[in-house]
Amino acid sequence: MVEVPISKDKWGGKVGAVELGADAASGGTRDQLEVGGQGCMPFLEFEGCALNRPLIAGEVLDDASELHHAVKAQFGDAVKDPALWAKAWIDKGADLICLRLVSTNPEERDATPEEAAATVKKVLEATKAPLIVYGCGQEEKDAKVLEAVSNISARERLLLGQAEEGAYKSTAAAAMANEHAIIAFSNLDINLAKQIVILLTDYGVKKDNIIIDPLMAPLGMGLEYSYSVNERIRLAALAGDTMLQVPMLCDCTEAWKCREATDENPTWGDATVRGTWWEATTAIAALLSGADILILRSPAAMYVVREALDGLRGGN
Amino acid sequence: MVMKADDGPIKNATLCELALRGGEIACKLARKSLEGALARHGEAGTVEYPDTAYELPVVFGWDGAEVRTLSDLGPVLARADGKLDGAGLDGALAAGDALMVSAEIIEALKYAEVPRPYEGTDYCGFIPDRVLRSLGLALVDDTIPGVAVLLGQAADVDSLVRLVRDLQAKGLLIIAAGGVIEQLKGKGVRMGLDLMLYPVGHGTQVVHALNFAVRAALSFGAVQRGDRDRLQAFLAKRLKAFVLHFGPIDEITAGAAFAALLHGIPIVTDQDVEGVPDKLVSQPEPSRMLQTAFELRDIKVKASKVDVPVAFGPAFEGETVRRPETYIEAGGAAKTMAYELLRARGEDDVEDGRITVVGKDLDEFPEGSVTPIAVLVDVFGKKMLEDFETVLERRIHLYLNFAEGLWHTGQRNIIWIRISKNAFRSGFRFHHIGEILVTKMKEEFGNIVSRVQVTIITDAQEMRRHLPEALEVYAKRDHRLEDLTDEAVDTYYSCLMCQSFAPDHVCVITPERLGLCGAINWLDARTGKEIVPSGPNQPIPKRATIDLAKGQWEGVNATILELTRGKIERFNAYSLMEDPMTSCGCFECIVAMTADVQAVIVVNREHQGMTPVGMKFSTLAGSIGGGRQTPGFIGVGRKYLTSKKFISAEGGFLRIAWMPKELKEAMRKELERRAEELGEKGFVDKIADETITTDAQGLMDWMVKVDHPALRMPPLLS
Repeated sequence: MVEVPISKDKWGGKVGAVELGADAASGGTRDQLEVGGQGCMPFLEFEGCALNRPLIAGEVLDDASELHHAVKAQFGDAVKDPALWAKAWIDKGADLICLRLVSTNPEERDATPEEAAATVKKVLEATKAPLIVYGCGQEEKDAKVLEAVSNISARERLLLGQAEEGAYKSTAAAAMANEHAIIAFSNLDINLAKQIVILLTDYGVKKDNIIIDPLMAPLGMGLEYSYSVNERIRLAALAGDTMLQVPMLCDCTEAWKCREATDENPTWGDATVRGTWWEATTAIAALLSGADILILRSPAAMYVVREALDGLRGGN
Repeated sequence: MVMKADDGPIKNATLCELALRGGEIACKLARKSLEGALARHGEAGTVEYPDTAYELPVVFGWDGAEVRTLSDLGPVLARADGKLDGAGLDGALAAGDALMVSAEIIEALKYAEVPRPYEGTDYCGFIPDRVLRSLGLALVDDTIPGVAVLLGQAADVDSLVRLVRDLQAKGLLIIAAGGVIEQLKGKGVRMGLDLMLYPVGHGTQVVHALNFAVRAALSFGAVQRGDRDRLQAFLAKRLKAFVLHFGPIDEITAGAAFAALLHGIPIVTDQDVEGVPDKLVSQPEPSRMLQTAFELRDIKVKASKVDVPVAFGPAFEGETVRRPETYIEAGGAAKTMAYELLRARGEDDVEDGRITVVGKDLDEFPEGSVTPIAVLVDVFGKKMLEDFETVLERRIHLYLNFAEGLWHTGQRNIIWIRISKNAFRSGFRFHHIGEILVTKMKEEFGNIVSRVQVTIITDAQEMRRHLPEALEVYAKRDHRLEDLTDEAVDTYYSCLMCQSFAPDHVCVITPERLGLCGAINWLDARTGKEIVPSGPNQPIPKRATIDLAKGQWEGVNATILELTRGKIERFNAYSLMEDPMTSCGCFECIVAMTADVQAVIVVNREHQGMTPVGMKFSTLAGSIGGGRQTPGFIGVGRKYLTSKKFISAEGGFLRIAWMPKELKEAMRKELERRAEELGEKGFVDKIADETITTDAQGLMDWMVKVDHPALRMPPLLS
């Protein structure tokens, strides 16, 4: 038999690695995880090194009133307490936690920055996993909330979300003050992804503190589009574009917002199964396009993704 | 010794000399204080400021030593003393360093004697950490636009008070040191730690401004003990502090000034000094000191809402004011003289925010009047260039239309303005035009312009006085545009705005080939680079010419290769057939080779019918878009059709054999001008359209019939 040669791409560039969480040696109280560091396209390790496996972050909300019942059912009463919820995620096998402080939204519950910081403290005490923290998305409030969060968790090396064009200074300042990492968000565009990294580094944030989020559109809402943007970002990074040589985060929870994923319709099958697979499909596409961290809402989806991930990595 | 600027500006050498002496005085004082304290409390006596995590912040940040007891101070002071043997600017900076460390020691020792040395005085002394924390990140994320340190004794108290009020209105943090404190107090200005106006005190007490700045860097910038480089970098970039200095300069002031410079804090003084550009600047006019400082530190105070009595926003952009609704009309159908002009002027000629109405205001006209009108906008900014004038001037049209009841069309001296009866009844007057332009210009072009002033003229005689200048400028600009050829510049611009959906597409914008969307010409791209430095328009150095006729340059090729990530290696700016420019999908028109390879057709986006190449616009667009190089087909902006560089590698303009009637009529004037330029009067009527033919054979027959010049050219493909 003639052996078919495997064609290999040679890459000049390499994605940088970012440390999340700080252990005792680094002055913190948690596990320390390294994310990124890829020197090849996803799962093509024979072309270069893939230092770290992609991480899965389990989503925790500080107000679960809007949470889909299919997700609620998997956690039971734990959804009433972010600390218990976070612990449940880690028990189920998540690598880290993504805490969203939705209660701080001034148009709804309007929880104070101090309350929000107290929640973060509780979650930090409940598990040893690294923590991603988002505010509510309202710029002015987030500035205050993230400042309080940053101060209460000094030295824990959180990943703070998020900085975007036109609203990055306060998040960047909050991250810089206590050496947390920061999520650089951009809207489905390779050049905007690059621009926000330039803006942040120009502001004084070090590149090994930045993780980009180029917006993962879920299945049915433009997944193909995200896939190609993500892939191009990673290709550009490997080709040597230094401003894109940062790890990539894909938030897959938006999948639960698709009508097709969750609407009750007798001909579409069980909505719980459908929602799970909707999120899992989105997440697997994200992994293939180059994601280094996934944010997931449903543990059932996580199990699917884990299995796929293990398979793609050849069982390790 | 005190320096007064009685005879000519104070030389920098003199200032350096003063600073050196200031350092010596401070060190001596510190030594004496320390000896006294040691005698009273012994080596183990504690030394600390109240409520701070940073010991003696200046020492913590700059020197790096840990200071807990009096015994720790000796070596620190010795190091400071050791810095006092330099000369010149470096020597003065070192002296500033020594002075601030000494001053920090002197001040800290006061707190070692009594817990609250400034109780019962007008001074706050050391600003505790809790004040810093309560301000929080607002201090460094531009929510608080800057920190103003007022230093010295003002010659005119009233203008000092006005300055403080202005600073307060703009939300700046103010730290006062020296005689200004008593001056402000005398005028009833309230000061205190809870009022964002901190009166730190006199003499060495100025160090409390510096140790406050240092702590901001330590706590918000995660700067480590003694890391002078990061400390300096953070202070220079993040904490937008500046010093406004008033009155004579003594040794301590001079030393403190150099200490400020060490912190990256620039100084604006009302004294006549030789100065250092961007660092130490003389501004004798008190009312202008703030503007000068803002420009030095690039501080932009967020523009407030546009202050007009009518609704304002893009929602009204398309609104038309019809004649029956019109209160007053100028230019256009009113047939009155009307023009607008935006000019870049010198620093001293533009007073920011100044709006002047010359002639009758709106309420002096009866309803239904017509009036002549001139809108003159003067701008100043360090990065403003004459070339940007047209880009900014074109925005006047957009901004004015944002106002409900205001309608504007045209540009230069062919403008036409209507103001509605409703707008008038709501209180709209001519000066509101100025309000709109000042606010919007600074909002959108804040990176380029720092001052905007507007003059509205309705007096015909006054208008005629300014008209020659306007006409001269218009002519000059036309001339500039004519001179603005690809050969005349050494830099083109990239436009990557469309890469989000056409990943490998790059527009290369040259003076004679605008972006294919028609929206961005070379000047726009150049301005765009200044407005958003990290944005989609980046300069491309042309470098060596590879092929002049086809329009190929080394620098352009290198950039294309980089920006398409290796997909496209070469690109000819003037060729349709060989390595043509790629297209995203936004092109205004498509240029396509005909079946007989003898000519090209042009079809615009709006045309929905068939073309003689057998494809409609939509089909053609599908096959050439998406960042591919498709020889024989290119997407272009309309204006490129009449450019001298229009497919000049293949015979240029005279290759055009067909275009939709609507496009031909819309562009007739420009087309005819270009044809005449080429000595082919009547050529435009040799261009067929859909009323003549929409198939290949028909076009060939037509070309023969009219003796189309493209027939005499070599075929596009051989």
